[in-house]
Parts: sequence; structure tokens; C-alpha cells
Amino acid sequence: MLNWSWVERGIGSFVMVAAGGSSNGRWRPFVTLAVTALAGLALAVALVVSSRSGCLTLPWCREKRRHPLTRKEWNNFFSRDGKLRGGGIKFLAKVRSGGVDPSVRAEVWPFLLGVYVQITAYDHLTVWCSYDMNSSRAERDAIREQRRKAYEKLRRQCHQSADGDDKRSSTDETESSDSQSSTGEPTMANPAAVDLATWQRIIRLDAIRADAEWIPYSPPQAAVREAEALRLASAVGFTDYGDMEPCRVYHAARLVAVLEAYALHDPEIGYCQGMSDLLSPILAVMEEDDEAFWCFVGFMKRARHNFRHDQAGIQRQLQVVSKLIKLHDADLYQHLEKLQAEDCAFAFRMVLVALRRELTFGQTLCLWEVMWADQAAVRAGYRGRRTRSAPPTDDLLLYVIAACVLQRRKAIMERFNSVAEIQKEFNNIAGQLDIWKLLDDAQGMVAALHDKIE
Amino acid sequence: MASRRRMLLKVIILGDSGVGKTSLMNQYVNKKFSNQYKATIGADFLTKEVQIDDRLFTLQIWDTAGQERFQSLGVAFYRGADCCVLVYDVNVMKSFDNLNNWREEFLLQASPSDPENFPFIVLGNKIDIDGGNSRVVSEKKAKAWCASKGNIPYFETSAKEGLNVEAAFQCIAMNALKNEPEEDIYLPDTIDVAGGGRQLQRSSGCEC
Repeated sequence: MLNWSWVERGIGSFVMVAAGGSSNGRWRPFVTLAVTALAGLALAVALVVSSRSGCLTLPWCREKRRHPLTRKEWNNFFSRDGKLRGGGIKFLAKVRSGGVDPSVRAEVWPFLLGVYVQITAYDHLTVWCSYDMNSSRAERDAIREQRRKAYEKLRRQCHQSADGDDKRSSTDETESSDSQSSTGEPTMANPAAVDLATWQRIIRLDAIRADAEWIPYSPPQAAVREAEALRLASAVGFTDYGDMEPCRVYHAARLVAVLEAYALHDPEIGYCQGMSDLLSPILAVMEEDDEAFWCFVGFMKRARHNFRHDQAGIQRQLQVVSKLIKLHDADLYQHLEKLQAEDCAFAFRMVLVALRRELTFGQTLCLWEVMWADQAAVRAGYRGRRTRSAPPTDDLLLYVIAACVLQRRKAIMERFNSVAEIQKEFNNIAGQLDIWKLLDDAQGMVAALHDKIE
Repeated sequence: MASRRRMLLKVIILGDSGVGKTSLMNQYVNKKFSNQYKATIGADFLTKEVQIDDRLFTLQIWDTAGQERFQSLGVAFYRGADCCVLVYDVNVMKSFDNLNNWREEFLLQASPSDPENFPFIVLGNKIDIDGGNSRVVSEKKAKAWCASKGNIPYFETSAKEGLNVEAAFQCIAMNALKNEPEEDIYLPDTIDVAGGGRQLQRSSGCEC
């Protein structure tokens, strides 16, 4: 397989030499033409190679990878009445090993994220009592309809809260009650409304500065008409978009709509920075807001603990990363201790937004779906067949992060003399990771260490 | 270990979400502005060589997440800080009201040896917005608060326009240096003349 970063660098330096180096005007048109042709040829080869292995459309986002779940395989997993054969075990094993082809993601993700459970009693966080991979098509349609209505109800509540805010006098200074609300005790006359106003402000701040990396992965949304984008923005009260392109206004307005609904759905967490990073890829894949919302709820079922006010969830996860490093590489751990970095605080961002900032958009989608398939397999009670293979784990992300730290072992041991240098290394790691190599390493660690961690 | 002799001054920037902490740091270090910086998760830092009198220092500027929920993480990042920069948005009252929380939280978590005299600097950012017409915190009010907290130096800045950013960080560097114990200051040093450090004049001082 070609190494695309090398190809990119090669073309890049050739273009620079050609453009900057040829001061002779006679040669410039020829060189420019040659460069363009060469770049075009490289791109064509890249697209052929990438489409042949059927993963992403952007070749430089891909590494050597295993085969993703294709449309044909996906269709063949279903019986005539639309039930996943064998309780979905083979389906989950397939996704765990190679991810999902982009053309079926929107159908697959709700299964991975536990959207199709039978709702026996609706109580915002205890929906998950009876996980169901055995649903029929008709049952799923009914669940989808029920959930669409529940989402619309949440959106109506968002509007009512916003109206209520407008009616309150401006002297109602909204001193944040974040720190108090962690105890669950209401501290003001209407703490939920006060919190929501705070969350709404921060949600909008983050929606405006969301990145545009999703655009190549979602052509229909990238081509949204300006009128539609502005209509949605106005409907959710998102007005500060300045001169943003219509597709980005649209994406930002969807972020606002779904995150506000989530804040009401899960007021203990509300909104916390980083959640927009987790939602943006889901919006890119799921075109309907209600479906994106329930997928996000499924994702947050585990991730929400990272955003708790007491930070207990994130601390536990950093401790697991630390323990994995200690068990796997005592020398490295000892070096981290010497630098006072054994708490792995440098991995905070990697854990909190599930490597979204470190991976490319395409890599993120691959990692997350493999991680969700692992979690779905745990929920389905699947424990793995062979004793030496990695069983599914709820903590695959933490193994991947530990693997990422271990891949930097040499630099940490030989070059870094302070925790700041380690922090800098991991803050600037974006674009340097090979997701399938990381998953290989991580799954090796799961096989070796899972019984010492769980 | 000659390179380690150049003294490191560690500065922490705190303040509510969206007040411009990342933008101020990038404007000072890289002379760039973008309104597309993503929300900071955890903490990140940039370094810049500064010259004070005839000596070179490395200013290590830590940018932190602005949501209160992340404050408990502070202890990992505040360790060894020499100066703390409190930033608010002159157009958002709540970001000013919260300065006190940020200050107290910093003192609690960093637990400096002499909290009474630990150097803080306050920056009122985004003075460019709407030609100043949307501002809700007056300079007088901000200065009064700074005076009440032991005469904290105060600057009004625009990270977007680069207004007053250089002056504010000069003051920050000098205050960070004052916080360093004397014996460290007079360690032998190698002066890297080609280091591109910015000349800082002690006499320029801070105006407030």
C-alpha cells in the first residue's frame, strides 16, 4: 500500500520548488502544467486505490486497514422480517474488526448506539434496561416514531424555556449554579432555567467555532441551500453566525438544536465543552436531528461520566490509562513518575473528546464505530470465542490512548524532561496517528491485560 | 544542561468560556488572530522568549478551558505558576463577575507560598466589538475591583486588533519574574543574542 503522507509531501515539495524556484518566466507555464498533471494523476491513483478497498473518500485519511462492513454484507445480515440474524453477534464482530462503509453508516450507527431498545418505561436515563439487537423492522419503525416525538417534545421545552428567559427581568443575573447543582440541590427559585440559560450561551459559543472537517463526509448537508440554513438558524434562535457559509450555519444550528435538547434531557450534565466535538460527527452521518439526538444519547450514556461536575468519571478513566501503562511498561511508568506525569493528566483531552482532536475526521468515525461495536457486544453479553483474542470491552478507547502513549515511548524516555513537554507532544499529535495500527496495539493490550483492569 | 539555565516563567490564563484566552495567547506569541479557535479542552501552552533588561527568559503561557466544571483539573496545570492572568469580556457582565471566582479558585488550587502577594493581572478583552458600544463593564468599575484586590494591574485589550496585547504581556512577564525567588534570578545564564527576544524595559512598568 502506498504511503499517502509521503505522496502528499512529495507533491507539496515539488510544487514549492516549481512555483518558488523557477524564476525563469519561460518555464513557468510548462512547469505549472506538469505539476497540475502530476497532482491530478496522483489524486486519480489515490481515489482508485481508496475506492477499491471501500473505506473513505479521502485517501490520505486512510491507512492500511481491515475490510469494513459493506452494504451487501449488511443487507445479508437481516432475515426477511428485518431481524438481525444470530442476535447481531456476527454483525458486531465484523464492525469490531474493520468498521463500517460510509454508505451504510446512517443505518448501522443506531444499532451500535443502542437506539433500538424496547422502551418499557421512559425515564431519561433508565431506558437502557432491555437492550435489543433482535428487533424486527416494524418494531424499529415504531421505536423511531416514539423517539421522534420525544425529541420534538424536548425541542418544544427548549423554546418555552427561551421564551421564559425573555420574560424574566434583566436584573435576574444568572450567577452560574454549576458548582452547587452537582449536589442536586436547587439553589435558586428556578435553577433549571438558570442553568439552561448558561448552557445555551456556551452551546452557541461552541457551535460558531465548530470545525468544517465534516463537509467532505456529508455532501447533502454541504450543499444545503442558504434559505434552509437560515430558516433552521432562526428556528433555534441562533443569530451570531456573521458571514459563515450556509452549510456551516446549518451545521451550527443543528448543534444548537440537539445540544439544547440534550441539556434538558440530562440536566445533571447539561452542556459541557467537548460535547459539541462528540456530536459533530454524528450530525454529519445522521441527517435527521431526532435520529442524531438519540444516537448522541447512546454515545453519552458512557461518555456523560466524563462531563460530571465532580470530574470523577474523567479521573477514573485517566487512572485506567495510567494503570495500563504501568502494567505494560514499568520503565516508562517509572519515567512518568519521575516527571510527575503518572496521573496522565496530559491525556485529558484525548479521553474527554474520545481522540476527536487528535484524529482526522475520517479516522474518528472509524475509531468510534469500532469502540461502539465493542460496547454493544458487551451489552449483548458477547465474551469472545477464542481465549487469546481480545474480548469486547467498554474501555477500548482507554486502551487506544494507552497504545498511543506507548507508541511515543522513545520520545518520552529520551527527549522529554518535563510534564509540559509531554503535554505539548500530545497536544500537537493531530494528523500523525495510524488508527488501525493503534487499534491493533490496543486490542493486543486488551487480550493481555483486560482481566487485570476489569 | 546549559539550556536549562534560561529561566522559565510560567503564566496561567484563566477566565470564562469565550472571553478570548486562546486568542490573546496566539496574538501575543504568533501575531495572528482567528475567530475559529475551537474551545480549549484541558490545557495547552505556547512559549516565547522575552528579554528583560539584559537577560533572556522563556515565557511559558498556559491556556486553559473556561468552563467552571474543569476547574478541579487546575491543580495539575497550575503547579509552579509565576503569574496568573484573569481575562474577562468587557461586553459580558457575567465574565467580569466571575473574576473573583477564578482568582479564589486559582489561589486554592495552586496554593502559592505567599497568596497575599501572588501576582495577578486582569485583562478586559474584546474592546473592539461594535466600536465599544456593546460594552457593559466600564473601565472604572474594572479598575475599582482591581484596586480592591491589592492593586492588580489592569489592561484593556483587543486580541483581534492586537491592541495593548504586547504591553499587557510585558507587564505579565515582569510580574512573573518578581515572583521568582531571588537566588534563581541570579543563576549564571547564557545569553542567546540571536534568540529574537523582545526587549522589555523594566522602567516601562505597569501603569496601574
